[in-house]
Amino acid sequence: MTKGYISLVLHAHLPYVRHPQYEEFMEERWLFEAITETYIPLIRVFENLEQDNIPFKITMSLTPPLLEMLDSRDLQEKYIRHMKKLIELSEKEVEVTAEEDRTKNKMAEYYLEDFKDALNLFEKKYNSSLVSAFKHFQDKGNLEIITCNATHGFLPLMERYPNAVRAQVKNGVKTYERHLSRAPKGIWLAECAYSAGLDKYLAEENIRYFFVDSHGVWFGDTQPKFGVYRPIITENGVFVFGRDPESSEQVWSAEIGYPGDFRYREFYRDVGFDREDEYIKPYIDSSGVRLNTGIKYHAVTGRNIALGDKDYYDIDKAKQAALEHAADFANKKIEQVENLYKAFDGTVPIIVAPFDAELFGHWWYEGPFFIENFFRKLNEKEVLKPITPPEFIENYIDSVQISTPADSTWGANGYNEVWLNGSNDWIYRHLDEMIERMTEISNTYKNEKNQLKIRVLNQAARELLLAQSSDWAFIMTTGTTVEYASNRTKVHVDRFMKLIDWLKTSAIDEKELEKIEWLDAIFPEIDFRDYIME
Amino acid sequence: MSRNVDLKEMKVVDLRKLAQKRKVHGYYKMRKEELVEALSDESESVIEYEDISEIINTMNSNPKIHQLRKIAKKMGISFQRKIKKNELILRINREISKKKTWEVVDLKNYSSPGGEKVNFNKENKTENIPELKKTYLKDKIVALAVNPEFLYFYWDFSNQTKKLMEEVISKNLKTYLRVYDVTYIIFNRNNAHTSWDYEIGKGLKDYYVHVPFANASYIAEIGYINENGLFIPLLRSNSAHTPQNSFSERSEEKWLELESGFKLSCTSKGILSKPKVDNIGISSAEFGKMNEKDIKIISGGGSFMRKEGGENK
Repeated sequence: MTKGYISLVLHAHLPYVRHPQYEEFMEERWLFEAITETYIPLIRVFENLEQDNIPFKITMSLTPPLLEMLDSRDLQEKYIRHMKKLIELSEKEVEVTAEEDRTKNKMAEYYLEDFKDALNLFEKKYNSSLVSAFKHFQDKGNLEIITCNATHGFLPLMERYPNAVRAQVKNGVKTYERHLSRAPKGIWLAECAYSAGLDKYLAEENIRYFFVDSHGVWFGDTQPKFGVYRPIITENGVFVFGRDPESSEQVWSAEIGYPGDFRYREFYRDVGFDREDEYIKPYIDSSGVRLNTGIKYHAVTGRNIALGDKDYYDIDKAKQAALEHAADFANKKIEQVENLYKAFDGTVPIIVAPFDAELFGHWWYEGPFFIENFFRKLNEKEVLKPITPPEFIENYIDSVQISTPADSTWGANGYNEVWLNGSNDWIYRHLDEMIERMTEISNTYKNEKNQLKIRVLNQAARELLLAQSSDWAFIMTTGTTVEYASNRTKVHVDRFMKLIDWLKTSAIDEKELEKIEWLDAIFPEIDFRDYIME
Repeated sequence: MSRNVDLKEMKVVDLRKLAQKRKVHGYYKMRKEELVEALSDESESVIEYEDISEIINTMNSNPKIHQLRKIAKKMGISFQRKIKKNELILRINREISKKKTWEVVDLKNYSSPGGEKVNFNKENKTENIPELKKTYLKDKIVALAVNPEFLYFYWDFSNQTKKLMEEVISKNLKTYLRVYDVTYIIFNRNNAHTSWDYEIGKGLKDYYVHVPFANASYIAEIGYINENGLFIPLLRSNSAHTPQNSFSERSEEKWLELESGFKLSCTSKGILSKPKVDNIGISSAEFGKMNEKDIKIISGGGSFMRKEGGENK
């Protein structure tokens, strides 16, 4: 007998990093690594489960910038080139490691096959379009793809400007529709960040549900009878699913979390750093900056063990660990729904477990294998079944509690401080100024017929949206690649101001406009009129 | 690479756009064949990418006059036989810069399948990163909630206000950020629950303020205290609301019947199986720890913080 349901929610996102004017660009590797280590392995998991007739349900947000990048011809070409080089490196690694160590050599051979297979899947099987692969599983009913606000802008800090929030939501919906040929039912609000009133904009776009962190539901304006284990609905009629804190802790926690198992692969040892200069030079950044190649030979090994003292990684042992963890997770979730079902007096609970998709595969190498086996384990019993949020709404809700969630995010400590602190607060005066100018200029030109001017206005809207990506503020807080994040903010502010000045002075540099349109070629269907304020 | 073929495969809308860009006379009334013809005439003198990069290479390697002449001919630059070397270089470079912008235009086609070869920018990746304005010369103070305990304020002045502030300071009067607790009231400057003053010196542009209540609303003003001890406000912020960090005490709960659309009210019995609420809500100590590089507690009791510096990093 089924006593409850679980929704695994994977938030797949990368900021829009595309530099077509350069043959290679270090930060574009973020996408390439995510494709090889997370998106392709997940697609393989879906394929395996489909083939074995295992019913699985995953809710996945593919954010607009990610969709645009996955669909970009030049990034696809670059990815193929990147993979060819990686395969070349792997071939060398097979030779080199044959002289070094047997476990290492086994892994080198594994990587070579794995990368070849990934390239084949990408280039041949899905014709360079991973979006089509995800779409396939959505059409089959296993995958529920949701959208995100346009550039993953941090909405609570722009709530004073309804038009800015609206443009974020609208472009999130439009981009989804263009890539996935249907309207999105749900949305992942960037950084799981909700502040009072945001649900209104979602309702305007016919979005039926979104997610908040646990305390968003707990501290809502009425106490939620079922806690985070059944959705609530806002006054504007949008369903809200709260994050299950236990699932997050089981996976994330530094102390007890699965990814810390000693048998798993160590992220921070990579041949990109370990090999000698001359040998590795062609495979790292052309500036000589060393970076992760994805070829790693070491295991976590133990707590407080220096990187230099780690043991070699054995994928068979690691897979054994992932099998154990998948079974353990399934058992814990089953126990959890049994308790909840009892506490709720026979009302079925839903456990919502959201994660960054890139955790699986990129950070936790064995993560996709864990997911696959979690669904296999669930399939052995009736008690707990996977489900998507809309299926739960359709089938298991007669009445729903009305409540407004509390302002909250899934960032450290649960509020806004990751995106607003001494390392990044300087950006907001510029972002706000951009919104104010965008509003002013949109009002002025609302009936504009001149195509060139409309292009300038639309491009200004793109620059504003790109500057608003929460990623830049996040990176400044974490302290890695801060310069890139800071430069991106500055470049988009600067391009925006330039475009606005052209309109004011009626001196449009058409060539420069074309160049900017080419460089920041996101959201072809954008409409600056979204920024008009009556 | 035949451009004609490419053109014939393009949609009329795109051809029209291209024609508009290239300022083809009367493009808007042309049919597809005419557009293709007009555009392919235009394209004849367009040099292919391989050539252009070869030309740039030659130009960079101190070319001889006969090489320059050859290049100029290839590019369709007309010149007199007695032309000076420097003048020829100038003309060629001018033409190259034109072609380079063409290159940008054409590269756009790259994103469509069957796109053309890209001649990548081989320059260093040290693009000029623009410096942003330090002020937009607007009178403005903005309040943003950081978490249940902290607010962030930033402000900017018009020239007029800036001058006024400087005058005030030169008279040895003090300038302040005054924060009002305006929870559940319509603020009229006299009805705030409480208020606090923070002295702001010259040049300061933002402030972190510790506030006592979660789920509360705050407004701030910037002003100065005049000779008579009166606070004279110059700018007022929006109202910022700190997030709730505890369970609601509301005694009623509302339910929506999905099928009928009926809304029902009943007495709230609270949450079934109350969760352990740890790790949520924060202490200022944790907040300070997180940004200890950037934020320093400068006042007694950790009541407020300010950032070192304050300019763009």
